Amino acid sequence: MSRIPGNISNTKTGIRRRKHFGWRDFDPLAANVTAEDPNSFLASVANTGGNIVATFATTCANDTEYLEDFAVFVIPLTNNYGEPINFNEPFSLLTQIEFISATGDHSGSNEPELAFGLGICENATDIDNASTNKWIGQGLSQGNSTNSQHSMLQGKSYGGSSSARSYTSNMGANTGLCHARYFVGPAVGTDGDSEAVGVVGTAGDYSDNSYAKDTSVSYDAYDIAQDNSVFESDGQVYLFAWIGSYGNTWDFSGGGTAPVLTCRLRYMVQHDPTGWGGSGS
Amino acid sequence: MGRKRIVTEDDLNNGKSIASVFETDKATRVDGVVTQWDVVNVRADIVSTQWDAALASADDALVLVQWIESKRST
Repeated sequence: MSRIPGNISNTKTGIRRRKHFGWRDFDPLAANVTAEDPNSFLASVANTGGNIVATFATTCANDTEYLEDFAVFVIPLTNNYGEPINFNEPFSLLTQIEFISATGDHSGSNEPELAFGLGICENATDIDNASTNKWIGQGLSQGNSTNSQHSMLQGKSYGGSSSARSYTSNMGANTGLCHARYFVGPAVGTDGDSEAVGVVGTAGDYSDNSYAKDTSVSYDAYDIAQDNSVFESDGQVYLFAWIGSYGNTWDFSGGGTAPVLTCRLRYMVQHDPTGWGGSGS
Repeated sequence: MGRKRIVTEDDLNNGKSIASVFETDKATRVDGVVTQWDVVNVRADIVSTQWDAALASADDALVLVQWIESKRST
């Protein structure tokens, strides 16, 4: 092999190659996913060309509006080089929640209201254990299936061992594309303080309609206002997808069709493993 | 002759004050007990003179609040 300086065949020598560029599709079937559905919201989940296809269960007796109770799929959050991201390091996270389609019976009484999104948490398992896990998440819930009208749904840790959620009024027609920015730290983990964790979401139409912004909800901000509810860990950040029903129970065993939701959940990350800095001197 | 009204709807609309209003349904769940309440989310930048006038006058305050409410989209 030629070792002549500048030889194009050696241009990769010593160069750190990025593993991920830009948006990453969340794959609920990836090898490193921990999946939990303790309340049996889903019958199955598939990945079709980057789209998540979730088939809801025939029956579900759990009426909850809290995203940590839904079916969840958890992965360790990594940066562009595939390195782990820890809570004591600065990172930015942008998520995109995209409704694609739905079939079956949904959004009526005694039918599931399709809810789906992403969030971050500090544990890889037992996500709904509010005493041991802390989280914040953001996504969509389809309150009106006729016009694909959605509300933004957010959830978070609350009171140290409890949970909270926020649900916007139903937005306009075709509000199926939602973006959220997460704010984490530096005062989390060992240095944890209130107001150090938050998420801000906006929603609107799709690219073929110029991303027309919903006019009813400007942007929805949600933060953790108590010291004992912010992330307690300095270690690995976990990203989780959640799919379930905002309220309602259902039983299609005697008639009706369990819905099938197709959505796309994507995320983009920036990270500096060398830390926050900021000594003031 | 009375004081010139500082806060009028026209002043607000023609000035640099901006506002948006929407609603959210909030809830907490503590030990299985759910507490639910509704919130009107107001995000506003109000020109200082108009804000100060509203603090000093019930009439101006009412104009300001009604103008903010007019920004609610349905």
